[in-house]
Amino acid sequence: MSLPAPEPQKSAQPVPSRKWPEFLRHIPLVLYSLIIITPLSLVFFATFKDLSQLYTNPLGLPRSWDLANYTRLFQNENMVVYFKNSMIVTFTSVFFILFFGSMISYAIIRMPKWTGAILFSFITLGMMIPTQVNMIPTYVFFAKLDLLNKHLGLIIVTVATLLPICVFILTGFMKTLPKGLIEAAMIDGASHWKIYTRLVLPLSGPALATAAIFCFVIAWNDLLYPLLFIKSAELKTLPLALLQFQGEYLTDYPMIFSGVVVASIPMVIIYTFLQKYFIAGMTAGSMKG
Amino acid sequence: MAGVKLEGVAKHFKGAVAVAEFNLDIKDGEFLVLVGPSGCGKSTTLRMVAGLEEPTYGRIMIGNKDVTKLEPKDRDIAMVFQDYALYPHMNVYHNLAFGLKLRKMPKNEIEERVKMAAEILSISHLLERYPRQLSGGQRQRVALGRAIVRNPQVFLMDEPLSNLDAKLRVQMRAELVKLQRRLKTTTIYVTHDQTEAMTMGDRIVVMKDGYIQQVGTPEEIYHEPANLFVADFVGSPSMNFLEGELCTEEGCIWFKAQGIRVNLRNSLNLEELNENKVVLGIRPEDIYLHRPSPEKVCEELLCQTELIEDLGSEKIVFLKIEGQELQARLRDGAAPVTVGGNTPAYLNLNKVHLFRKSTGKKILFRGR
Ligand SMILES: Nc1ncnc2c1ncn2[C@@H]1O[C@H](COP(=O)(O)OP(=O)(O)OP(=O)(O)O)[C@@H](O)[C@H]1O
Ligand SMILES: [Mg+2]
Repeated sequence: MSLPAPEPQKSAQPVPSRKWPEFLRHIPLVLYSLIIITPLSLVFFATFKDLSQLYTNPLGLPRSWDLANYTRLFQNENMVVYFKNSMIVTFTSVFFILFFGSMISYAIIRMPKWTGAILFSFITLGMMIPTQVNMIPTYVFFAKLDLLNKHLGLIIVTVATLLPICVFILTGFMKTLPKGLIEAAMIDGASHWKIYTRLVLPLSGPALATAAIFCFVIAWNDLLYPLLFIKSAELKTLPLALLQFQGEYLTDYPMIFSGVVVASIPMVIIYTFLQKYFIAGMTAGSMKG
Repeated sequence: MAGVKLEGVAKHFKGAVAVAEFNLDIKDGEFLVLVGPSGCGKSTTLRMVAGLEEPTYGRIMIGNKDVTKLEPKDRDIAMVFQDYALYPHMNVYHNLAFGLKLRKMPKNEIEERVKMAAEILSISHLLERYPRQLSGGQRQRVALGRAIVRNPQVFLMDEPLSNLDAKLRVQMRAELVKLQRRLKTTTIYVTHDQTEAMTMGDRIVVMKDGYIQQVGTPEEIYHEPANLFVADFVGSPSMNFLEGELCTEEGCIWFKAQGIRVNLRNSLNLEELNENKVVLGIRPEDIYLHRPSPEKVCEELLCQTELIEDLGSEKIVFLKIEGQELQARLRDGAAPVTVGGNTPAYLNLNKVHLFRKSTGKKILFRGR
């Protein structure tokens, strides 16, 4: 968030007139980042305040950088367990989404044109069905399979719901890979598996990163399916636990905010690591390598 | 090492014919060039040999093995693509080694082979670089290297030089030929450039609209073109054509067009021909502007000179006769002509070609 804010020119030197449009163009960006940053920082500051301080001084900086809320969070609650649960569910899901998604996408681009197009539309149709529609059938179905209240069930349903987006992103990217490369590998003696692992996967880095971030964010923040599937306290994921905080600490906003901040740390880390590829993936195909 | 045989090979794309019928026996160690204008089916033919396209009809043999239904990897061929298709995430060493690793060759042997190929192509100093760090010519060499390390039965090359600048292309052309002579690997080389075809091929296949027009050595293709298309396609500047009719007078065969009469001094059976509309073809170097030595049988025509192009080593003189155009190529000294004037042009009758106007097929003289 280090967007360089355009500083007002203090010197008397006249600003070259053609500089103005560029300066003007930054204004909406600056406003937008303020809209995003302000509530975020209020939440962040609030985690260092106690309740009375929050009420008397909701907008200012905290009196001291006191970690009491965080300590309390990890001592009183099973924060570590929730965190671990979220990690397990999200990372396993994202891994399998990318694993299956990339294989499906590879298959689609290597199939005869029509079969590939049909399979592609069939899978991506999944993106258009709102979760609410198949919530109850899924519940009943998973109950029969005895997958309720288990991480495995949660992982399976997460993989299934996010696979279409992943296939959508990856197929779009893989289609732009030069066909000659794959043909060269075929002539060099590569099987489908080798072409997939040695050529297509390494070259799809940006698209994989994009899909990974997408799916990670959605899976990590998902509340609906954990709420639907998970009953036992020791299996709860972070968003579900935070929901329960709201009942527990009805008015203890600093505690709730602390939970939110802790919950968002992994996303920030992942994004920081992958953002280089993320941007490349978003613009893939607009340029030739 | 092995020859390649194509028997009645055809490729149809959704009803459109890309290659109509291809019959050819390519000898072991031969450098065969497929040449023709854009869209004539050269690449498609090559890709069928490679196994990247499945023929609609026909059979392809490599050596004594029928490979028609085999995957590319089971055909023991290597291909050089027009855009090189180097693996962008591997350095040059691994680009060359990829095919060998897939064939589970022991590591030290891979290293040996890659080093040798790199030496042959003088790219030893580039082994650590990635394709994006190479110039066009260097990439081209790496692409060639990837083909030769595998030591395959057949090299397939699809316009490998067309992305290089003119000078480098001429240089690589010679190097490629030398390399092929040295390795003696059967090579099928696709190009749309007739100069490349003429200078590189042991034999040339001229194609048009999916059909083979002629197969022959460069000399045969140049001096004995089988039809109008080949005659026009090969040679630069291209062959001159005059449209007219044949008739018999005073026991000789004459070519006549408006204001032009050429005694062909050759025997033909006009009845067998059963059509007299023809096209007379003659190459620019077979038209002389000064009287040649008497043993050359020539016909004199009076032309106007329109333009002279001086290329240094030779001059191209643009002539006009009765609305039809001719180009003469003069190799020796100054042209004895001035622009805008009249000059006699001498057609070497031994080098005259006749084609049927209707089909473009060559008409054979009795004497030859
Ligand atoms: N995959 C395809 N689907 C449909 N038609 C095709 C396909 N590939 C080639 N063709 C058609 O087949 C014909 C021959 O194509 P080909 O690529 O063999 O030409 P070429 O001789 O290599 O031309 P160029 O010199 O331009 O490379 C063309 O008319 C082309 O439009
Ligand atoms: Mg081609």
